[in-house]
Amino acid sequence: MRRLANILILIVAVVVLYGMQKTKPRFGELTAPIPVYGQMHDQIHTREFDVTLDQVIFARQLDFTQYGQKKTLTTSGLWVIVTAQLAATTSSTSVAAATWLGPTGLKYAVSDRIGWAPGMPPHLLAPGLPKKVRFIFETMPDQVNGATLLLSGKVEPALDSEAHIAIDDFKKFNDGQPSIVDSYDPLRPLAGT
Amino acid sequence: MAVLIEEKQGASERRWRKRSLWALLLLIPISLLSISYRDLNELARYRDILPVDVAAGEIKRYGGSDWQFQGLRKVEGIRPGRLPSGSVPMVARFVVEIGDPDLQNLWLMCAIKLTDRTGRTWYPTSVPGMPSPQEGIETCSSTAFSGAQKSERRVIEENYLVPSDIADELVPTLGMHSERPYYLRFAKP
Repeated sequence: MRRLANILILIVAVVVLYGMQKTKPRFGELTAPIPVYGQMHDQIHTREFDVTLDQVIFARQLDFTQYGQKKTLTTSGLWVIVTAQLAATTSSTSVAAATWLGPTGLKYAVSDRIGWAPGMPPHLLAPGLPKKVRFIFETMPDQVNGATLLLSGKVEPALDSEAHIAIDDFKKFNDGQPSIVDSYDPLRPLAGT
Repeated sequence: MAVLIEEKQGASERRWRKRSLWALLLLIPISLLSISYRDLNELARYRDILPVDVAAGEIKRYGGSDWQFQGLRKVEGIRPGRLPSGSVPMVARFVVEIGDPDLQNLWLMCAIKLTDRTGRTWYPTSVPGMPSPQEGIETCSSTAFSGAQKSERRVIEENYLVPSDIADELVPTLGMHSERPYYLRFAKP
């Protein structure tokens, strides 16, 4: 009887250990960012900043004047201009990482083709001084419906909150395709910056 | 006879097994602490945790040098429209007499912040349209790399942009890697 019990305990131990080994999260999962889900026009609170996503515009090209030169940036896909309101919660901080996450899981980082200009990320924030800012992406037309904007202070936020904002309010046609403007000036000052 | 000894050993073994199990309650926390002590210690050097209050006008030794808070002033006359609405630029000024001149180590991660009553903090920032400081005025980090010698006196200024409604309640704090988790919290002169 006792021997049988010992064998049973051994079998149970093997099963439990095997299960633990199989379901062990990887280091990247253990230290993954903590998502804070929200929708457009809602204020979303992360640990270091609050964000309200105001508007999403799609454009075929960007036209602007930089250092006295007219510039045009074209794309084989689609320009996405996201305007948002950011504010630090308790301490001066910056929002450096924004990602356009398409419905099929493709990730698009913020475009750096414009180069440095006022109002471009990283956005420096201070408590009590909200800011209107833009994030500009290049994406594909099929990565628009059902997309999510990811926003975090650092590029790889380990164990820190990351805003996941559903892109659910933009101008579209009856067939669900986004309405695209021909040209957009990304350096035009935003009201309230 | 042999049976008796075995029973006695059995009883003593059981007793020690029980003691060992109870000892784990103490040993596991101690071993966890001894493993993570250095990490915790290093972590505490990145955060201002324990405040040391400095009275108005008092000279306090911190990071090997003597610090005196001179005052916090609002900056007027910046062209309207350049700054966010409801904000005001401020300048905090300190006078430091250098003690230990090994500033690059002692003043590592020097941060002079402003804090309000609710604990919100503002880091130094560049303010658009701010007049450049007078000759010889430095920031905390530029002083650390200036090669300042023992018993030299330096003027340190940091610029901030803060909401105008709480500007009057702000006080500066000073933290450095070599002294944290202790940091200085200055009263206004």
